[in-house]
Amino acid sequence: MKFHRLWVHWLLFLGSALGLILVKRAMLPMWASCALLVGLSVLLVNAGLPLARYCVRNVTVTQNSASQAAVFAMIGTVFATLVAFAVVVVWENYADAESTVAQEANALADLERMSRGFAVPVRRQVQEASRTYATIVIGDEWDAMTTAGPDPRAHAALTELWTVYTDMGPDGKASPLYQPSIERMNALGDNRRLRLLAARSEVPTVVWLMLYCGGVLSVVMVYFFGVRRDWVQRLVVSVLATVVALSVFLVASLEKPFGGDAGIGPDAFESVVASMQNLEM
Amino acid sequence: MTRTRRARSRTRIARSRTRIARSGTRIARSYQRRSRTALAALLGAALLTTACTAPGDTDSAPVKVGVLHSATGGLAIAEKPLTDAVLLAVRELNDQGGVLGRRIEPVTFDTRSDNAVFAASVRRMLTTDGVRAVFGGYTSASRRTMVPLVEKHQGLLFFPTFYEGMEHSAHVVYTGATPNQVVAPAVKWFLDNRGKRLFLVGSDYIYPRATNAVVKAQLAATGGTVAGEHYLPLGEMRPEAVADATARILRARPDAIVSTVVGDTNLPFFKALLDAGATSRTLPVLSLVLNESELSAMDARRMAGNYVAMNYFQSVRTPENAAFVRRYRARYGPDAVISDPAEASYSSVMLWARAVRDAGSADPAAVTEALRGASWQSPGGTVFVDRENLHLWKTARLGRIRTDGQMDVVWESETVIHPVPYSPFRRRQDWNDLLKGLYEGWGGRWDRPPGGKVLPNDMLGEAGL
Repeated sequence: MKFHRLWVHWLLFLGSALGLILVKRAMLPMWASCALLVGLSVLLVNAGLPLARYCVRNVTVTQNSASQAAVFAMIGTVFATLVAFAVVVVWENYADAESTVAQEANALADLERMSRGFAVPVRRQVQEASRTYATIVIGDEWDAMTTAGPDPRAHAALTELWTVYTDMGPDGKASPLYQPSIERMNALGDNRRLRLLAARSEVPTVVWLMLYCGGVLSVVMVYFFGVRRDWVQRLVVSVLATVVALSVFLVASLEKPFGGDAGIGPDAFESVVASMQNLEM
Repeated sequence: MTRTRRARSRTRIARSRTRIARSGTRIARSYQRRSRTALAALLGAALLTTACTAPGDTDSAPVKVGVLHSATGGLAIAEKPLTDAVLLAVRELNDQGGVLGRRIEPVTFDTRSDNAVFAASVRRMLTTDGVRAVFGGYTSASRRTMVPLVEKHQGLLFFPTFYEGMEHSAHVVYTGATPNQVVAPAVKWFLDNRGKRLFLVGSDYIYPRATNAVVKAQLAATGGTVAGEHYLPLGEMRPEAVADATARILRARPDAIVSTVVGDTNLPFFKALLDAGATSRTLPVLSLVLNESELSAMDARRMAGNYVAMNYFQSVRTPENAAFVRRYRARYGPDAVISDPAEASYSSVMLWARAVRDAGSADPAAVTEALRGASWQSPGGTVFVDRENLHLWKTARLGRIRTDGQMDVVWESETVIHPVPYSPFRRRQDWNDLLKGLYEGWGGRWDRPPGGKVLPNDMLGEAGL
């Protein structure tokens, strides 16, 4: 390996590291974010390769290749396990959040449908409040819930819905639809709370630390394999960097179920609003 | 020969001069034509600019806002704090640099407690004075007089008083409460804590009539009972008339009274109740209209212990309110009193200013769009402008009157309440019919005329349910 113009490699190394940080912070479309993450990772490890090999003599690398392979295998296994664990956890959270949203929207739709069995004033109140709730959730709360938390207006509309049932006269409370409606109200409230919790959920910092450390260590270990041809070593570290970058990207994409391009949208609520009956106002 | 040549030469010169002169005339005419065209174009552009730009709407000119409240007449006591609150907000905004780098210039008219003056003033403000928003109105009658004119001239009105609902205009931002934001929660609290039989008493004009119609619908739906309903003429002060009303109330043996009695009539009304032995403990009154400004002008000791439902009380304990009260008193004196509509007036100006900044323009249409969904941390708590009906989401409060005219907050809604101008207990058409019936029944006005007939209490019947 040739070691002339090392400053260029330093520049590329630091530049790509900075680029990776910026990509992580920027709100880019998913495909652009993925492409940049992989591209910059490949650039980073290729720029780092001569820097690392400059520090360690080739003869040392060749002499310790066997023990190094064993350590790499161990690190690789631990890293793969960690990645698998993180992916399963975020995927399960994502799937749960999707199910929670569907159940919340279903509860709202059920309430609106069951209200048709009550007196017209009750029906009108439920329709008014449920439409308001859905509209606020779709238009205001959805985009803000990952950062700003719940919207007070959505909470107000939910309280308004509760008030319709708790303030209902004896005739309404005697209706066979009253108890199922209360159950759906509970389901609505429970799933709302779960949705808001899921919106703020994050992969713990320690897991992120392990992921980054595992990825970096794996690449560093590959740097010191005794490979005769430079291009072969560059190919190996590039493939490894791509796999690590894609793993990190997958965990990051699914970490926030309601954020980014892969985030769950309010489609279920939009469908409920579209199917709501318009009572004569 | 030489002469002939000279003569020919002179002739040529003369012809040449003539040609030059003609050419000069043509150039001059052409120049004149071009000048005229350029002048016409300039004039046209100037006219177009003038047509597209409202008076005073240049980059550096102040932004004019209208302040329409009564400084004289019967409503002056109630409306003066509203004017003060608007002017305080304008002053604070100007101290911070105004809006869009321009000062805010309040254009203030005294509407003399006369609805006709409200109408004439708002028309003048929108057509002649070039105001970009009007903050004003107190009674429903004044609002209903102004709204058609504001709509006609594409203006923007901020109405700060709680009202009966049953109205929605794309040119009005209603910063006061609708009945479901104050009346319904307070009535519910009374049903839970004081009993199911309520007597409805009020002054005979649109707000009490329409609000009580909403209360009756609520009672019918929630298992409450109307023990009775009675209306006193607006401004009634005759002891015998008020005593007759209290006698009716006591005969009906209600658990509590829901009062929409306004103004000075409250003095003989509460006195008559006390004289008849009805105290705030034995027969509590829930007033839907009294506020700190009115109580400061009356003897609050007679009313102490009774209840008032509003969105805001001066005694609300929040850091924002403490700072607001401090600034208000620093400006208007240590004894100045702030009422719910005054706080709403202040919030109106602040919301408008925020919307102007967001829209990047003071144009009423742009500001209205920027207002939809906007929020602000008002002294009474966070408020949101509803995207659809341009009313505010507000917190409801119930206060108990103290002997000093201030309130002890005994209940507060757990969250802001969605404004619903048309109560869902009936169809929108039913409410519009009620208003139409009242207006026509009173001979084309929004209150019972002196000596006019008393309209039936149940104007809607049960047909609307």
